[in-house]
Amino acid sequence: MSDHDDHHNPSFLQKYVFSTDHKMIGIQYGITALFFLLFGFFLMMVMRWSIAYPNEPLPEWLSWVFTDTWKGRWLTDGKVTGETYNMFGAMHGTIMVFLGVVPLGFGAFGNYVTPLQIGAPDMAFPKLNMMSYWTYLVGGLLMCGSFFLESGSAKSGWTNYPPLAAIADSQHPNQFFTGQTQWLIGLVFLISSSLLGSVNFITTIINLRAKGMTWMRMPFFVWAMLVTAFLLLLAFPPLEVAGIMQLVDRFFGSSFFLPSGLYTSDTGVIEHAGGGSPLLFQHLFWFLGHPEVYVLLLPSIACVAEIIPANTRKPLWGYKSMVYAVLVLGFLSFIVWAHHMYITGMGSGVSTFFQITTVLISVPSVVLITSMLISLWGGSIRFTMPMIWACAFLPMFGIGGLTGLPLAFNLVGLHLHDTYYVIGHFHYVVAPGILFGLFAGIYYWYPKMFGRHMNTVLGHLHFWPSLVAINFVFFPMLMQGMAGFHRRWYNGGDAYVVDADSANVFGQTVRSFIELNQVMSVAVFVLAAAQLPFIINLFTAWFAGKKVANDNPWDATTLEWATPTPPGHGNFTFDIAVYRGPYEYSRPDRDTDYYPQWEEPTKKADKAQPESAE
Amino acid sequence: MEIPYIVNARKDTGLNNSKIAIWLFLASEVMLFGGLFSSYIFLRVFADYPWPERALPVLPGLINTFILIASSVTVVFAWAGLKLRKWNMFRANMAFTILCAAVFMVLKADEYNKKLHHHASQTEDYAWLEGHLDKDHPNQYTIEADTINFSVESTASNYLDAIITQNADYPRAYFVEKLYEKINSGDLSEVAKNSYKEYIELSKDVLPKKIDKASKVVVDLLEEAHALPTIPTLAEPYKIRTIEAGKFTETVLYSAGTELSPEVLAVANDEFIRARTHNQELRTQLLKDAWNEIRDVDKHPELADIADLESKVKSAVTKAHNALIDKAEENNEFLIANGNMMFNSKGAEFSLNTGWGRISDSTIGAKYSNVSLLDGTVLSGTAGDSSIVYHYVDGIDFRHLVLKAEAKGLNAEELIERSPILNIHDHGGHHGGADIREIWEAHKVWRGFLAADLLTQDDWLTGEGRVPTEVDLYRVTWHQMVAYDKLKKEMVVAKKISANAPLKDAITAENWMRINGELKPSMLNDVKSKLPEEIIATFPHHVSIERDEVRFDSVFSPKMNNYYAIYFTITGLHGLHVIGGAIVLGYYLFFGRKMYLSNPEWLANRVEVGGLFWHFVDLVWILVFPLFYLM
Repeated sequence: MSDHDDHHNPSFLQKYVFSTDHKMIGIQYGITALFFLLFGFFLMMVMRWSIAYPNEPLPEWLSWVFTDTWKGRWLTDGKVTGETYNMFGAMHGTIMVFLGVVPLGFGAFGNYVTPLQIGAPDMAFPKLNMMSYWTYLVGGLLMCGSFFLESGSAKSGWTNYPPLAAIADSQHPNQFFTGQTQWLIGLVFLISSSLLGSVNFITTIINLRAKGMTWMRMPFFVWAMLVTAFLLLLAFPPLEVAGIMQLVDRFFGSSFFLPSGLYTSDTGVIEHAGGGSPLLFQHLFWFLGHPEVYVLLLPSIACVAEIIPANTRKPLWGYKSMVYAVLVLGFLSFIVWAHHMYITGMGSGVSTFFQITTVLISVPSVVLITSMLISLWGGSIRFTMPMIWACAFLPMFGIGGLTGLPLAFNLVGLHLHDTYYVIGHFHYVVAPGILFGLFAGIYYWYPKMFGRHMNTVLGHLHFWPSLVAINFVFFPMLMQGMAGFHRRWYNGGDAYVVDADSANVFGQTVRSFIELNQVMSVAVFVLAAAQLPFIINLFTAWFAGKKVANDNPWDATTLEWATPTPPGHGNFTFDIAVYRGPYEYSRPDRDTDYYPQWEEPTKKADKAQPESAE
Repeated sequence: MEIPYIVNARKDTGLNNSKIAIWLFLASEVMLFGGLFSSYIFLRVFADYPWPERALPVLPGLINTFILIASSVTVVFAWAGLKLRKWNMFRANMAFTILCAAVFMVLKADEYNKKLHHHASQTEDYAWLEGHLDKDHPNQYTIEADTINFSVESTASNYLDAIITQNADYPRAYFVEKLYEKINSGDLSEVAKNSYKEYIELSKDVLPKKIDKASKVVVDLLEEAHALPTIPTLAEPYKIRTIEAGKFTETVLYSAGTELSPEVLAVANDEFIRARTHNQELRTQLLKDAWNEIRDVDKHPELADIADLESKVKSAVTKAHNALIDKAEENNEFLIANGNMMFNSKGAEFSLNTGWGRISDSTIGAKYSNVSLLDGTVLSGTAGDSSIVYHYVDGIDFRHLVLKAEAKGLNAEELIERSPILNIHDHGGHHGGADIREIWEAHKVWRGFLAADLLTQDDWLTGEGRVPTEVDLYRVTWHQMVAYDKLKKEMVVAKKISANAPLKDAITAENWMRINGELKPSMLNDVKSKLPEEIIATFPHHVSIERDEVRFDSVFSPKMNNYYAIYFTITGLHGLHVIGGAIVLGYYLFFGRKMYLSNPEWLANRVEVGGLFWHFVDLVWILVFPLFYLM
């Protein structure tokens, strides 16, 4: 059945490039995603320059990346134009969400850790797993490659709303080679990748659990991955539909998303059949878009939920509630999507429904975060590198979540729609929340992946400046947003500023908050500098880090620590069986303060517990 | 290492890996098609135009439904064959399944083909004319261009090949010029022969159809020889500025009269980009200098403590920047970034695909018309004949007009009478336009009888008299055209009316009911790849509408309206699923023997999984068929 001979001495290509081993694929996902994150971060720095210093040319240390020809086309007098800003904005969002955070959380950690934690030798379909990675890479490169096209890359926001997106770049005779089309094609690739991945994850979790690994003995991480995979499986296809329909609009001239009588200043009334609905796209997009938020979030919560018990030396508080909460969360996330669309005028009845479900979904979210918070109580906390990040995750994600509550309400949502408040809210969730959780994960599993610890001094140099700077980036956004700053001002509101003696009320409001732009932008540049220790750490620890003392350096209980370091092909060197729950720390009847899942019971009381194997 | 549960089921879940995976995959497919069907409902409910109902031929769709159902049965038998270890049973049933898939795709392809060759034009008053375009009169903008203006910035030559090589005029122009030279030299008889060969050679690629008529062409060309169009030539010199050792010199890159070629545009494009890059670099540097200048406390003490965003500072920077730019311009430090290249094309005739751009004025002979192509190229000159010529018309439809008229409170019947499609002027011995008018008059008589008859019947819902549908009232299909024609022929044979009596006289209180019944052509015509000639002969022929009366025109492709858009999208994706499924099942059929011998259970599992997918594909079609063909 499986070929025994092709794995033992794999060639370089088989081992590192076209690998079917879930661990190598996980690492490939991780490194690729980190590169995309870095790129997305860079785009944002250029945008932040334009916001803070709209009248000054890009400085040399930002613009050296671009060729002179590119600058001649896309910058005016060295300043970022609105068009270029839109392009960078759209691609920043797309890259961060689809090419950075999801592949890092789900692709990298999910792939590496899930099979280990359930005691499986690999994913159920290793070849599909490899295809999933390569499809993702192709999709990502197509999207990013469009920067070099004559049209530039997509410019209609990461949400890609028609009719703007549907007619964008339509002046180009060859529709295939336009940024907008490449974005859509890239998206279809990414969706296919997610589909392959999610089918694989769910099958693996259902069918490849080791002996004794019952559902309620699965670490929370695995539960979170299971729910994430279901979200991807069921939420992405409608977006694929939207992508395909928009491609049909572009290539075959249909009007799915184009209303009758659409007029632009460039071409007048657009020659098309009309009768389509831009609102339809929004529905299809957000049907994915909202579950996607939890696709971003759950892997991060999953990492933190593993790190907290191991570093407090006590069980995860409310494990079962968390499991149920994550299931409820997954279900509810499918029926909240239209809270992104209050302003479309879809009717108060519909808005009320989505307002209620949105408020409801905060309940399971709060269950998750509260359980983790209470888990800290009374623990003997080890402030290791991963734990510090995990501790920062809790309040930061808390701010992100709480600032979302007002937005759930229709009336407040109308006022805050498309302001910097919204930007501040979801960036608090994604950047200091989700990304901090994922950083925690990197520091936590790095020793298992490479057999060496990451450097602690560099880790602190990474953590503290990041924590301080990131709050200076996002907190002022909340203030500006409530004052009415629009999220798409490419010059940060410079166009609206009035002199001190003007009677223009809005201009005065802008004037009183605009200087925060420079605070935020400087904080962004500090944040960028704070990532340098991490990059150095990540690559130097590979060969120069402190070697791990044993296979279980954190004295943790879950199955991934039962493998050799790094785990070989097939993962486990002995016949793995599970005897107890995932977080058996500080049991009074034990000499050590942890009782791994795989350790055979020595006492009668343990043996008496029913072992429901397969 | 071995992945467990590839073949055998895990005890507690009762499933092997592939079966879990296929159900998950199908769940995701349900969401995919669910999204599409939801879109269908959304688009139909919110449509602001008459949604086409029963617009597709039912019989081929019905046959396809049974074909897929049959194949779903045989795929189960194929699986059972493997379970029973009967290889031949598997083979026969699987082969039948794949054959069904092939027949399905052939029928589907034929349906697509018919739609994609069926054309419709919507006139400015929202009336629709449907039919087949005249192949000799392509749907193009025609212009006799005096000038062609290329936008150098967008790598302009996107349509250049078409303009230079595919355009019929250029080989001919070239030929005529040569011919003319030789005529002038007095050596005519020999030349005519050679030139004829040369012409054939030149026109092989572009004018294949006209070669037959070439002997006449030579005569025509001699006549045309006096009005020679030639290759477009540059109207004004294209100048550039170069820098050498810090010295700026202006040179002419292309002098006026340079012939148009891809190279010329490519070089100009290079020069343009080089100049733009240089200029932007310089301007960026000057802006930096301007900031340094006004932030220099010695020079501008009054701005020392004022923030960057204050208008005083901003205007000071702009002023300083402009001053620096002016100075640089005086020193000729900027390169010339000329984005336009104008060519004289001396009235040469161009026929341009309507998808490439727009024409400003398509009235034949309009003096200052121009065609703007997507890439920025503009051809200006006199509008040629851009009219849309139908070989035959097989449908007229006023429902959209009525919808719009009712929304605006206008009298729809009056507007219909004034519609351009009922008032087409025939010329050149054709009478297609008059035929359309006759058919419409006949239809009015028929629907009058229908309305009167329905009024006597009680509607089961309201209890009042019934009324005709919008389709009955305002749409004439080819079925009806055929029926009206048959009726008239019967009446003429029966000597009840004369052969040149108007069509409407053929419809009477006695026979009107037969129009939508026995006289309608058979459904079997739908499965033929082409309508029979005798049916086509009954349609109005050679109908020509002016381009400026047409609001929108398209073949029955996704462009036509969202009904066809969603139809092509859903059935297209479904078709891809059929092909994908057939490839997988075909793989088991043709390459499964080895696995059957070594591990028949594994092959049976695979076929089971493939079969589940196949059932899903069938299920989707069972939803598609009523939704698109019947509702």
